[in-house]
Amino acid sequence: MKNLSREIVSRIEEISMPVKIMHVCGSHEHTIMQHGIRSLITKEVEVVAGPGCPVCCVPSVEINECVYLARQGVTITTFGDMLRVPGSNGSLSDAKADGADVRIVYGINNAVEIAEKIEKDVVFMAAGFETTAPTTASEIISEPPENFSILSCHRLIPPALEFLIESGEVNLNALIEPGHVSTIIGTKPYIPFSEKYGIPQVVAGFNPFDVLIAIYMILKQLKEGKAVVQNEYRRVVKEEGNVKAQKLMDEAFYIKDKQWRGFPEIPDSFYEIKAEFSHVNARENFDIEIEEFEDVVTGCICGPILRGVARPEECTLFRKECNPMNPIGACMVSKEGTCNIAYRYGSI
Amino acid sequence: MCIAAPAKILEIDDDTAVVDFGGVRQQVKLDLVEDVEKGKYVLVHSGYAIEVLTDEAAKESLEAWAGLLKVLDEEE
Ligand code: SF4
Repeated sequence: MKNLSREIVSRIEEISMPVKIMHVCGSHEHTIMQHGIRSLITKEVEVVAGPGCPVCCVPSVEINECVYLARQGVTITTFGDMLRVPGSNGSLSDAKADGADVRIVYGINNAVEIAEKIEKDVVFMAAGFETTAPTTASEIISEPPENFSILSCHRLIPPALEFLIESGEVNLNALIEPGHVSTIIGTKPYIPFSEKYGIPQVVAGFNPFDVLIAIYMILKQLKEGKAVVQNEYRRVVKEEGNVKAQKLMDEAFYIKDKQWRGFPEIPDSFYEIKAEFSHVNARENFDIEIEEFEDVVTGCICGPILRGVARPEECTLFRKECNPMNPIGACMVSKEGTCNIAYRYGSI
Repeated sequence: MCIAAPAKILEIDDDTAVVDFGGVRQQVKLDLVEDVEKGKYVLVHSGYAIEVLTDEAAKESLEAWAGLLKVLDEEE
């Protein structure tokens, strides 16, 4: 085991050069921090975390929508990490403390089961990238019970990548692509970033060896003057992805522009439920009244962290006022959040 | 949140299966995959199988990564 990692690290050292590689997956950040990968490789090879946490990327306005429904007496079901994500009027967890019916589920199928058992309206707050969106799509088209509807918060990774590259704020040279998003969408959607912007990309798995090999593959491309999409996670990810899942998503969703936490509106970055399924769309079934608001200034720098231009250690609240027991920003709430991971595994 | 783990299919009943995550049994939905059968491995994400895996892929052996390095060398 040691030998293999030493072998990969020495290969990296041989062709090391100053480079900024971005990954966009909470699980990659977890692997990197847990195994101290940043300290294993040469300093000039910088690996930065981007918007890889779908829970963190849900902006306050969508939390407000859900909190509104919860306070109106609707039963809210969602993933555990969503509960403490702050909106401008508090979180779902605050609503629950005030008596709202907010339940944690492991998947949307459990939310449907709850709706089957109770008379009340049940809304599933559907967060997640392309990995999770097909699970929602499959329930949308399989005629869930009448008292069940969905508040989509599903977002797409490639448009966020394009936004980050175009903005130039991070100055990234290469991308490690998320293995489980790619399991669904395949490797083709990334090709334009290599062709148009000359960026080497490697789809990677989540074992420390996967991440080290991906870094090596990127450096090798740079060394050879190449910019293509390679698949390190070929044991799982097919070039075409999961075609059945893609078809279900096409059937259930249309794609629209949407704001992300830490980002302005990103073109074509959001899955909304198609009009023909409006009976399962919570935004159609309920009059959700959201007042204009400004995000409270807390000193939280989650936005720049999600854009890959800051690290948690640069936040004055990190490890002090803000910690997993008392999270101030979304990046500390979710176990996939860069601040939460940095808290658990120490500094870079 | 995009966490997914391999599991072996023990039983199939229509569009759900009972799978085994190295000792822990769980029900998963099969709506997103095709060609599943008892004994095969699937990758499971939030209660749904999202891909069918080969036995080697599910087991993640060290040889596999060493093999991948070799393949990369040959792809020159
Ligand atoms: S440490 Fe807390 S307050 Fe600071 S950026 Fe992270 S989530 Fe926000």
